[in-house]
Formats: sequence, C-alpha cells, structure tokens
Amino acid sequence: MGELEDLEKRLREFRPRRPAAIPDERLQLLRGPIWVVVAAAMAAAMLIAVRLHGPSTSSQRELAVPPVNPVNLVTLGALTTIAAEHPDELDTVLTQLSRTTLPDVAQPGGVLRGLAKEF
Amino acid sequence: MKHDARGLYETHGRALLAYACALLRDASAAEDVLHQVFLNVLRGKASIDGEPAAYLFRAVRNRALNHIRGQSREADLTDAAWLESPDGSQETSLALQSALGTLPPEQREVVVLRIWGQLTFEEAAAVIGVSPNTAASRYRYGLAKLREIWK
Repeated sequence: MGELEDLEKRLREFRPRRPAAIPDERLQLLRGPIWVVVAAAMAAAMLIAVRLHGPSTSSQRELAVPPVNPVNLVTLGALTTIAAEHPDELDTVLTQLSRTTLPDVAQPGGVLRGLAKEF
Repeated sequence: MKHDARGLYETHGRALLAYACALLRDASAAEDVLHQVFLNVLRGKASIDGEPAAYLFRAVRNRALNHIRGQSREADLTDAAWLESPDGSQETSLALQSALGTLPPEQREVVVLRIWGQLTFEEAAAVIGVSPNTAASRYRYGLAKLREIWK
C-alpha cells in the first residue's frame, strides 16, 4: 500500500495546466449573425464606390425607382440596423438598392456592354 | 441556485480540463468541451443543484462522451501537454500522459478524478454512475498498472 501512496504523492506533484479563459459570451453571441454585418458592410462599401466612381447618366437615373430612398440606406449604420432588427428584409433592401445604384449592364452604348462584346 | 461561473472556473478549471483531456485524449477538444459547459453556466442554462464540482464533472463527462460519439477516431493523448510537471519539463509531463493513455478509459478517469479532481470515491462514483466500490477498485487497478508503466 505504501508504494501506491508514494505514487499518488508523485502524481499530485503534477498540476493540470490552466485552461484558456472562457470565450467572451458577447463574442459568442455575435458569432452567429456576424455574416450579416459583414455582408452589410461589403454592400455599403460597394454602393458607395459605385456612387463615387461609377457611371452616372441621365438614362440611368430614369430607371424604375423602387420605394426605397438609397441615400437614406447607403450607410453602414442603416444597413447594420436592418440586418440586426429585420434580417428577413435585408435581402429585399439590398436588391432594391442594387437596382437603383448599380450600372445597368444591358444599357445600349454602356461601358459594360462594350466590354462584354470584347470578351 | 446562482453560482459565480468565473469563480468556479478559477477553482475547478484545471481539474476539469485534466478530466476532459483524460476522456477525450485531445487537449483542444477538451478545452472546447470545458468552455461549452461554462458558457451554459454563464447563460444560466445550467441548473446546479448541490455541490457545483460534482455537477461540473458530470457535465464535462456528458459533453465529452457526446463528442467521442461524434468523432470517428480517438486522438493521441500525448499530442499536447495538459499536465505541468514539478520540474517544468514537458518531456516528463508527456511521459506521464502517455502512461495514463495506456490505462483503460474507465480506470484512467477515476485516477484523474481522484488525483487531480480531488474527489472522494463516493463523489467520483456519482460522476461516473457506478458504485463507490467499483470506483475504488478501478482506481486501485489503474494505479497499479500505472506504477508498472510509469517509472
């Protein structure tokens, strides 16, 4: 029995290592909808880039305008709010925004149409 | 009953991690299991009746066994050090872990619960779901085998 007690004593000299800290609960909760935030940020960046550098012709402005004012929505904050509070509507809003602000690839004489012909 | 999860983690984290490592033989998976258990406690999803340590060891065991059922291959107990040797040598730690790895799982878990979890045979038996006599017997067989392997 003495040998086993010696062994117990030797084993107890070893100490289990300290585990890593518990992950921050808020980060865990954010991990789920994080893709929504990322998607909203990417969409916002794309839309801003298009508005700053993209083609802007009068014919484009005459395209059908959906019942959403893009000026009010093309901000990261606005899109994030929609993503967080009404995630089901995010896709619809982004679709409306893209129709309003992205160039029409089928527009006659447009740069994109010209490029498409080259390739 | 509300418990201070972070206080419990500080007090029992090391022993629980050792127990999870002994069950899973994978330090990374063991840490994941431990975190899942404590996130549940933090979120108030765990109902801890009685002694928190007993609940926590049981919870770690249940999650670890679920994890084992979901994986196809048993990991190598020696892949990462989860014990710290008194002389700070990783080689010594890995040698002990390797020796522990040769024990049958049912003996290994009682040894870890007794030595590093500091549970009594009654408490260890309650965690595992066997009688105290069975737990004591497994412990003695486990230690005897360990003594032969680990010099």
